[in-house]
Amino acid sequence: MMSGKTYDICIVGSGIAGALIAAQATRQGRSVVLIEAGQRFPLAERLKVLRRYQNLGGLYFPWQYPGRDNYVDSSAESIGVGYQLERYRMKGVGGSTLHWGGRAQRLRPTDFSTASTYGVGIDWPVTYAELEPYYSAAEWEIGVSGSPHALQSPRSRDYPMTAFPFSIDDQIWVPIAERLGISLYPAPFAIATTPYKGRSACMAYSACNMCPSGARYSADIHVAEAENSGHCELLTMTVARRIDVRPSGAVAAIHATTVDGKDLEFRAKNYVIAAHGVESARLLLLSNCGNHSDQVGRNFMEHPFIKAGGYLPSKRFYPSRVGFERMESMSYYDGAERRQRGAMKLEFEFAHDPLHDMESEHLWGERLDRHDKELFGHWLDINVETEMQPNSDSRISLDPEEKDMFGDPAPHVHMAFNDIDHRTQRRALEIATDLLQASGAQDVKPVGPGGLSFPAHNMGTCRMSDNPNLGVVDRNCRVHGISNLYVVGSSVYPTGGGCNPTLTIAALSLRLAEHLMQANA
Amino acid sequence: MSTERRKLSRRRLLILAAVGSAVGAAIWLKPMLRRGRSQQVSIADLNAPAVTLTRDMEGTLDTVITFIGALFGRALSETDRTELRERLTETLSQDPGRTQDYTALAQLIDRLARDAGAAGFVMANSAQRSSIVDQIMRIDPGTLRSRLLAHLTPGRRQYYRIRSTTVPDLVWLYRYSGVPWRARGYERWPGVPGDWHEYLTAGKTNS
Repeated sequence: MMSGKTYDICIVGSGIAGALIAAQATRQGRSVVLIEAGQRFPLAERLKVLRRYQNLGGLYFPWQYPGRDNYVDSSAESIGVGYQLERYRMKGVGGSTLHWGGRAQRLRPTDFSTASTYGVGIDWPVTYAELEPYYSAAEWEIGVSGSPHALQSPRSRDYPMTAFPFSIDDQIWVPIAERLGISLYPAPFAIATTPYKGRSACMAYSACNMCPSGARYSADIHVAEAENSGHCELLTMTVARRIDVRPSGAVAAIHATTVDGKDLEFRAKNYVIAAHGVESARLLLLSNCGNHSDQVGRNFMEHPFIKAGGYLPSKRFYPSRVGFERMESMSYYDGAERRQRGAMKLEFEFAHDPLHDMESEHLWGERLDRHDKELFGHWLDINVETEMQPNSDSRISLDPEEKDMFGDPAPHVHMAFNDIDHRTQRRALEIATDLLQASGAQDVKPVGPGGLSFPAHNMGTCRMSDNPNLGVVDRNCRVHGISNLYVVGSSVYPTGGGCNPTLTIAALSLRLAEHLMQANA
Repeated sequence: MSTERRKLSRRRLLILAAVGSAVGAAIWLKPMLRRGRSQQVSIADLNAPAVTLTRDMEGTLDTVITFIGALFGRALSETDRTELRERLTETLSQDPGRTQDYTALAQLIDRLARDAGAAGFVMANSAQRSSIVDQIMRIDPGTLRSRLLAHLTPGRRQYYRIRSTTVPDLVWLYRYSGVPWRARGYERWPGVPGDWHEYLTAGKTNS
């Protein structure tokens, strides 16, 4: 079915990228259609969602579509562990910001030029200085609480809200860190310390991944703004399946199907694909578009977390009184060592629940109760968020056998590490272990297999490059060779640094929105 | 071929056939052993009407709650029992398949308690309850041996199912309830709002 209407912008995906572009465009009176594969999760229902999740468990996040969104993963063949995509991606109005923890960091200026600065990775076609005004604008759009620090990236504008201060738990670490020469600062979060633009201040639900109070930003806020303008149509439970590109090199339409089987066609002056690191690449591959140099889906990156923990019997922490860890350090991020390994950001967690150890330690009954009494409030984890290098063998492709609910090829995930990644992860575990031991922790050990886990940061699959042979989109996020098709989100990152990606996605989206408004003024 | 060698070959064949059958059965029966737990949340489901408990189901939930206490080595207060009953009742409307799981668990542990000389699990003494919990928890659902043994008899299959599905479900529900947090001295826990400034000062502790 065709609506007959031609919109100014057709956006696939209502996560932070799509939502911010829709809000910016509708503020200027542009017409937008927003295609979203998932459903709405209204703020008013989130407490019930949380309660249901606390009762029933199931997948880590409660808003997946098991059976609908199939995928195949062969990562274990190369990295030894599987990549659980169903736990990491999110389909719903607001996208991954419905379940993010709220960390809102800027990349460091060096992250944009790792090849020219350190001889590894690849440079971005844009610099930090070019992106800085959009970072500032993004912090004010999504409401970030933070406090400037020498190890953070330079800024032209204050944070809109003051940072969450160090907790009484964090204070225990301050003198230890000073002795070890580690610089700590309160991490910036898109969680309100004070009421902000209609959002409440943090109400300490200690469940940030669902945040029933709405103090933590989620992109459905900007979707609602766009819808309320009267210039935006949102279609939920509607899956974009093909981009129809004319021989002239312009997109004619996007074809989509609702989950109950109705075929739809959308026409617009410009098209923006903002469907996250996996689905954006998959849609381009399904449409045989943008893959002129076999780059679509390649360079799939994450931020491998390396975690170690230790027992501190003489210290007393009070875990989980809020749902986020306030303190972080960039002391191991940059410097000469980065010629040999990736960037690293340190996070300090006091949230370990000894009841989690039931299966791994084969504990139950009174022994488990004693274990809980002994360890609860005495366990510190150090989490190192590491940079992964772009690597063409690490990729998203179309699986030749597995299909989605429409019969289209499902995504095939194959994550691969190179030598630098292995070196980075070894060094990260060494640093975490050394710091724990220096702080007097006992029973120091990696958490999980090799201490490795993933924070659901999918990046790099449609990377940005001025050279069409090396990338999928240009510096303005426009797909090389197609005049009116754009991709935005962490999929366009040439490199990922060691910082959480969401604020950079927001900055790139605001920059693209400005470009689209100017191009079609 | 000598008689000795023929016997050996036949024995090998029998062993191979037995192993093959067990593996085949494991593959065939896998879906029956573990019901999917990853149902997607529909906003409409969140407002499903509350379940009214029958007298039998009330008794079943009492037994399940007593089992949870034994599993975590804790004496539950009346407040704890009330909260767990509320949450378990909610699960019956949110996932009706749990009725069968809780009933199967209560029937099994009641039978084991009677075998041990008690009138039922709730009436059993602490040592009897611990021994029953041990019998269930000693099954390691992660091992191939456990999975294969689960196919030998319906009884073993029931043990395996309880250990691999019902117990993890109850563990999850307990951990995210207020019960362990109250035991640690907390007056608020994940899901209960408060003031974030609390974290600037020391809290209470029971350990």
